[in-house]
Amino acid sequence: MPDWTRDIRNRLAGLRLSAPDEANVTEELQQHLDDRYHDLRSRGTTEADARRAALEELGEGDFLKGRLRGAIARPAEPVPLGASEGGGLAGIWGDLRFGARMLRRTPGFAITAALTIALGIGANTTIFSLVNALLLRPLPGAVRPNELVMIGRTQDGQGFDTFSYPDYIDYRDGARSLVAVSASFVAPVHLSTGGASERVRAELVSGSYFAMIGTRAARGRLLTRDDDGAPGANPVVVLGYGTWQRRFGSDPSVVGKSVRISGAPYQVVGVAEPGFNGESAMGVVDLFIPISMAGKLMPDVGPMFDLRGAVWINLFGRLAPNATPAMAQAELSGIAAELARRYPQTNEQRGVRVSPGLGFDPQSRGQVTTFMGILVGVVGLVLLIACANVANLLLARGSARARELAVRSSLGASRSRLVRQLLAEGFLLALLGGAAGFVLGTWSLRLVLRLPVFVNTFGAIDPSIDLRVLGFAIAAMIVSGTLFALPPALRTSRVDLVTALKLGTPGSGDPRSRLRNGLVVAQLALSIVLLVAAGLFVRTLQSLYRIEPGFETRHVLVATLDAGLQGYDEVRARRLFTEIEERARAIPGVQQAALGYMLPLGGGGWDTRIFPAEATPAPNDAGLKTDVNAVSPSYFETLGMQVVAGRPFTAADRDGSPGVAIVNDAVVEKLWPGTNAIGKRFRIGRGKEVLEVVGVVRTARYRSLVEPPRPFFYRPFAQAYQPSMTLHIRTTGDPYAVVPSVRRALDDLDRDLPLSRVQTLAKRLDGSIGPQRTAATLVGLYGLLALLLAAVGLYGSMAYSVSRRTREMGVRMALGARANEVLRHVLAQAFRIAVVGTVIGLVAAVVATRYLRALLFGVEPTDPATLVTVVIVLVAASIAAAYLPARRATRVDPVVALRSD
Amino acid sequence: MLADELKKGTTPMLILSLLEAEQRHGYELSKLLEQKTRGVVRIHAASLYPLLYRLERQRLIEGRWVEKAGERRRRYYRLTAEGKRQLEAHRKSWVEFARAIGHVAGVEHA
Repeated sequence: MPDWTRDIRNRLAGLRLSAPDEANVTEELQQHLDDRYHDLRSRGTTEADARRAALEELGEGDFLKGRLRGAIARPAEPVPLGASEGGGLAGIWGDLRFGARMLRRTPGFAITAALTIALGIGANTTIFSLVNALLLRPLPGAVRPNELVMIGRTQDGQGFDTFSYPDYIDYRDGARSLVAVSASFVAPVHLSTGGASERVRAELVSGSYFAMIGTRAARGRLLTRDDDGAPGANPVVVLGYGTWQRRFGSDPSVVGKSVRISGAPYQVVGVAEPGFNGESAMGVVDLFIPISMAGKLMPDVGPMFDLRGAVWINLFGRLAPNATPAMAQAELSGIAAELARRYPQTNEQRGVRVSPGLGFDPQSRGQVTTFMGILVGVVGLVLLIACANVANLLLARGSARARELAVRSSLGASRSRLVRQLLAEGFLLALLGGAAGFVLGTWSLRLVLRLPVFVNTFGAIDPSIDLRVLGFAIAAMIVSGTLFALPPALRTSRVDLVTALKLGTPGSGDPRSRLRNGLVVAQLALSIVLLVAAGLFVRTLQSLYRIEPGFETRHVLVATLDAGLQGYDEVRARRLFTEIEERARAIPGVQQAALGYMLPLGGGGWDTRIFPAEATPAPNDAGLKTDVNAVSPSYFETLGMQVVAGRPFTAADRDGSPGVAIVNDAVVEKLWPGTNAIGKRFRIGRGKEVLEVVGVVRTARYRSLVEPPRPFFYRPFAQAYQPSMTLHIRTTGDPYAVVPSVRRALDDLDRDLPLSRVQTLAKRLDGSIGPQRTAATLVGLYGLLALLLAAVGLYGSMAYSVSRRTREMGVRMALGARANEVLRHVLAQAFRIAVVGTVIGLVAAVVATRYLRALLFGVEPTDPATLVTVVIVLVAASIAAAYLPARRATRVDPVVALRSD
Repeated sequence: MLADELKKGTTPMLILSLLEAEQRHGYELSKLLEQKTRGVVRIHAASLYPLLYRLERQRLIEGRWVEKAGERRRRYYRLTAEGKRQLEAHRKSWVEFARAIGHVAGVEHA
């Protein structure tokens, strides 16, 4: 008998049949040809003729191929037999390949799911990068950073404050548990390199500073103990790496050059290594100068070196080998007690606190941790919602694939094998989403870093992505993959062969619908927590913006002139300030201009204690703690502050004339309640200086928007000279439009004097509520993202569960139910689910929002308006999500509905 | 021309009819077809098997490998319930069609 195999295979070539199909077809055709040949031979046909006739059965050329194309019945899905139970890596690889094929087949589903996960993981990557940069990453430029400690002064056991210079010397020389104790002091200086001068941040450090931290020099040398010499004897400076790049164009020959710092020549001796911005995370240091130069730079600091009462120095230390922070704490506390015993007048209630690590003092670290903790919680919720969404999608897809799974199960695939397969698909989705999310997250980090709170509060936040962030993203991917893929996989793989193969429609008792409803409930609950948080921040912002600061903000530009730093004496400085105020007033578009020493809403203030002048204060009388400002006569008009009694200052209130003051309502209420304060006199401190009240203004907000009414008084600038004054300019139009004219006016007087902190008061006001605003912005945005995800998920799962019940609705309607009744039935069910989700969400929200309290203002965490609004929004959203598909379903002809699968 | 077209359209029905009584394999079907139509309808393997596979895909017939003692295994086809329904429908419309053709063309039908 001839062998037909080759002829058959030639004709099948290029059809790309699966191996089992090709084997079957070949075998069948071969038999047919055998039979034919056999028949012909038995009828006496010659061997050659019989062979030719049999081959004719296969037709000419591509005829068979053309007929077979599309004719072969394949099972719904390729079922990998044989190696199906393959374990180990090969099996997993097979699962992944098969999973990829399945996902490619439904790109819409794959993209939706991956994108959802990407949004969740992206948000988490962004926030974790921030946590990493702010709290986890060690100080750049530090060697063995875990040995470094911050040392703070406590007063009555409270706080974390600065030390006096004599105390520093005693701690430095007394501590055995610390190999080094360094001191520093941060101050603004004017840096001038030939061209324009600029206000920069300098850190004045003791000689041991760099060696203690372990920082290296990028150029030249850093400061050493040799620079500690006699006060004012070492005018040298180390540039921060950023300053070297920015101001000196990374000039390699900068070492040895001379620069002017606040008017005096300094020699550049080196550049610090890149990334090192000083030991504090709260701001970038531009220059490092020996602390021995402090008196030269700031004349009023000079005498403080010898005063035990003047506290102005930050202290850091490095633990000795084998020493712990606790040992250092015990030893330093001993020294503090000894100092308190020796110098009771100054050190009576002073203690000391050792805090591990540099970067943040314990209070700031606590605040940053709280703030970041809130954000971590928010994006965590977003990811959970995203996971619930994808789980729902997978579940719906699982129902659609019930037949495929049943076929595979009937062919011998075990349940664990099916779970593994479904998990592989989930893992692929997580991988896709995780990768996209990582990219999205690192990209959005750059946007988040532009938010004012990060720009204003912290120094340079390094946005680079390190292994820790990558590890976090991978962990988030694995956890979320398991969260969204495992429950649907377990549920879907529980195949009911009979029902599934019959393509039967599961009724409402379908166990899948219970899991699906559970997911909807979870989504609702999580969304409520997020939306309540977002709502509370919006309310906080509302309350903050409702506060009247008590002065005009929108059309007032401020710009600081530090004549003292530029080496002006009092006479020259007074002349400069008066001159620039007049010139500013003459600029077109300027309504009024004034000078003030303190800038409002900067967080800090200049305070003193005052006593009524009529009586001599008792020794235990602490007086009234009051803030004070020195202003020019036009100040109140410029800021739109009304003098409600008495008069504003005039040119007659000059140096040498009787001391006068304008007080606010809070002072009147404390010192002379119920009387006319005009003409009353008060004493500043226990000194001889007595001022007479000539006017009263309404109490405004001074240090921050959220402070309680603060006693405050103003003095005429002419009677209270300050070497640094801020120009306040009230404009008719855009305040920033007059900046060039102000600069030109100043150029005529002094080209080298920088105009610093140029901004509007409105901008300052925004900045003063920075943390709340940032929290509201971020939580609001992420809340919106979550709401969007939840709404899509809700709609999807509602639509799906309604469509699964089309048949049931058809039956009901065939039995005489009206469309409205069916609709109501479906909506009632959706409502029940919404209520369960809402109740759980509210309970969770009340628990969770307690942690927001630190950032809330003017609103309780359990604010009823917020809670009610959120509940209404979400219940309405879920009803709407159910209504649309339900309406569509009731419009279906019952007959069609009954026939539908 | 007409005969060819007719054959093409009716072959599936003929196959279904041949499978109505019992299950048969491919070669058997081709021989029966030739015999019963007295050689008018002849179908090559290259046409027969693709047709069988197509009918199988439409779930009108069902094929399975059957092994008999002392023989090679063969693929037998049998009619499904759906196939039976289709066959009945075909038959009815065929009778109507043939009758209509007869009226128009003036042919007395047997």
